[in-house]
Amino acid sequence: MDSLDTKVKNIIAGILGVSVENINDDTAIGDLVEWDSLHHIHIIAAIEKEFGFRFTPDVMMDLEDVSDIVSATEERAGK
Amino acid sequence: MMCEKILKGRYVQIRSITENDAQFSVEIRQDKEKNKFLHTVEANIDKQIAWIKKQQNSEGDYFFIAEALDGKKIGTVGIYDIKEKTGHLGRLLMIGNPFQTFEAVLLSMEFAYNILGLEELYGDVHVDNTPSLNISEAVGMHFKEPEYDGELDRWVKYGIAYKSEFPKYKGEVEALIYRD
Repeated sequence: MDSLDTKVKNIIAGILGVSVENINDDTAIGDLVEWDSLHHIHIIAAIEKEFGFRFTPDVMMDLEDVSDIVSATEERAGK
Repeated sequence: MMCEKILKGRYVQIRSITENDAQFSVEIRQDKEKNKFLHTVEANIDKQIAWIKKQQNSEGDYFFIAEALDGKKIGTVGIYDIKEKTGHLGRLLMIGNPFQTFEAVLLSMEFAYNILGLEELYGDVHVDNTPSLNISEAVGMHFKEPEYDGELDRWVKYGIAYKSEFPKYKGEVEALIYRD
């Protein structure tokens, strides 16, 4: 069974259309040409749909890199 | 020209630029990564103040500063070259997060369509500026095939967005950024 970390990275890679090997904890919006503003909001929406919750606006506004998203998802969805 | 109102959203507000924004509007143009598809601007505050004063009295030209709700300045966006029922959407330069960027663009388009009464908005984006092309298309800009702009020596895509289609695109973007 995939860990939450792996699931999040797979979702991000899928939205961006890149190999998950290109996604590490430090990868952030703007680091890959594919990860632009439009794809960022699609990533957040896809994670919320997959895990069945909504980030609060305050949390959502501070999500910049993979580790931010994984941590916030763990906090909201549980490990 | 000056818009007397502050246009407020959930994540940002946009208001007309003033001379007090000269420092910010110069600094944001010095970020090489953010400005790689734009022409360079001299880092001269006095010249920027003079430009803002002129812009404030320029017919058919609105230049907004985007602010986070805590008042932090996070970008610029403009509606200009207004002629009858058409105008140009541009000067988009944001250092905020994507949710703020999209909302700032929607607020400026609402201003153009619903306050100014424009029917069409034009845009031009460097062919390699995929992030800006993606934002523009998401809010309803239809782009043509790339054309060479000899004056600025660059390949650009020219686009047009229609007021009649705005509710559809606005609704799609709002569903993503608000997720109500």
